Amino acid sequence: MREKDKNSVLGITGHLSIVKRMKDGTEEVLLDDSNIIVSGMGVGLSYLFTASGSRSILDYQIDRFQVGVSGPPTGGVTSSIFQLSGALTGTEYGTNSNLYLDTRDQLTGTNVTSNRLFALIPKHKITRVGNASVRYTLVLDENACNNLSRSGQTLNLNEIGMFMKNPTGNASPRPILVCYRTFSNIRKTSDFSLIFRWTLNF
Amino acid sequence: MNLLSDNINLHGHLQIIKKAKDGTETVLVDDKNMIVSGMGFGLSHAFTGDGSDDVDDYLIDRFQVGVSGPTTGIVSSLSELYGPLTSISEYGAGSNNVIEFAQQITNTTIKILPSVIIPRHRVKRYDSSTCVEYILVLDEESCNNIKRNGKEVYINEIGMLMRNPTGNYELDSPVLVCYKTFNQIKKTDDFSLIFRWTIFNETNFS
Repeated sequence: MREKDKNSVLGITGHLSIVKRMKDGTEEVLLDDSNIIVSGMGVGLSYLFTASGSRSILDYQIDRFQVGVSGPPTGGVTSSIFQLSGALTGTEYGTNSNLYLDTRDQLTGTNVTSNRLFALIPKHKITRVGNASVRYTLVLDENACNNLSRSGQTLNLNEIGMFMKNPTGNASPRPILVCYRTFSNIRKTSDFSLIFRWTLNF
Repeated sequence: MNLLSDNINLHGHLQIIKKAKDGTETVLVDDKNMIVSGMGFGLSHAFTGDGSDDVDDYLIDRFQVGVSGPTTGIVSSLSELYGPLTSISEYGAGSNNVIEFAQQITNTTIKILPSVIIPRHRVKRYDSSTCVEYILVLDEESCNNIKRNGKEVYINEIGMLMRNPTGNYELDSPVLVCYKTFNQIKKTDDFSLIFRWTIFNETNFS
């Protein structure tokens, strides 16, 4: 096991790089920066450490994400964020995309918000790196999230979050936001895919 | 509401209370602890499905005390106590504590060491918070008059361990996740020691 700090604190940190991949295979890094771990991570871990939530370890895994169009949130980016400001809905993720979408009620602070849409992260895109890091590779393929608009107004992707599946162990999973990041507007088109490489370091 | 932060911190805080037979209590230690890299080791197994499938294996369900804690130079890569108690007799044969031997994962090797199992009812999650409290008790019959090589030694270190994150099949393989040294305590049957250990998640204030 590696040495992390010389003080009494273990920092869980996250790092996100966003790569734009063109059809011809060329890549451009759009973002390479730290993220925000939000309080939902602590909520999930406290359930895990007390066995007071789900009895399945799968429910504590970060297995899904959302992208949105309204970041950053009005109150600023704080660790108390529990939802994206403008998560995509309905067909906005793209009807011909390879994304596997899942609709669930989401834990939002002390409330539950019904029928939120999530994109599932395939198991093979979750990799343990070293002794204490986990890397998630999220892909918005060429058919995902293209040419977004609402009420005739053009919208751009500018926020993303990952979710723990169901720490409370509800019969129907209730995901909770655990990490979040805003980024500069990206107008997604079918000319390219977006690859989010997200690493959490424990 | 917390300020902007780019990471979340697992902190630990430990209070050690000496409780005499007449019920009087004295706080001996009230200080932060060290979360060590075993915590990350365990969580990375939980989050990838590389480890145990059993939620209970990720519980911090045991602790060890030792007699060789240093005063300085403790690093977060620590994976074992410096001088853990090694037998049931050192923990106290007359104690009510349940002692279990397991093959502990350390930086260098796997060691068979005893730990005290923390009863479930002494682990508490505060509602609507991200705080978990552990109450560890060395009762009046525990850890008294420990001698090594004919010389009396005193307890001065403690650590809690995650049960079995790798999901080892035959015997639990715990990992040290938090640690604390303290001034030497000569434990006798005149008192019990209560360790109130709190692990909580808190974002950095930047």
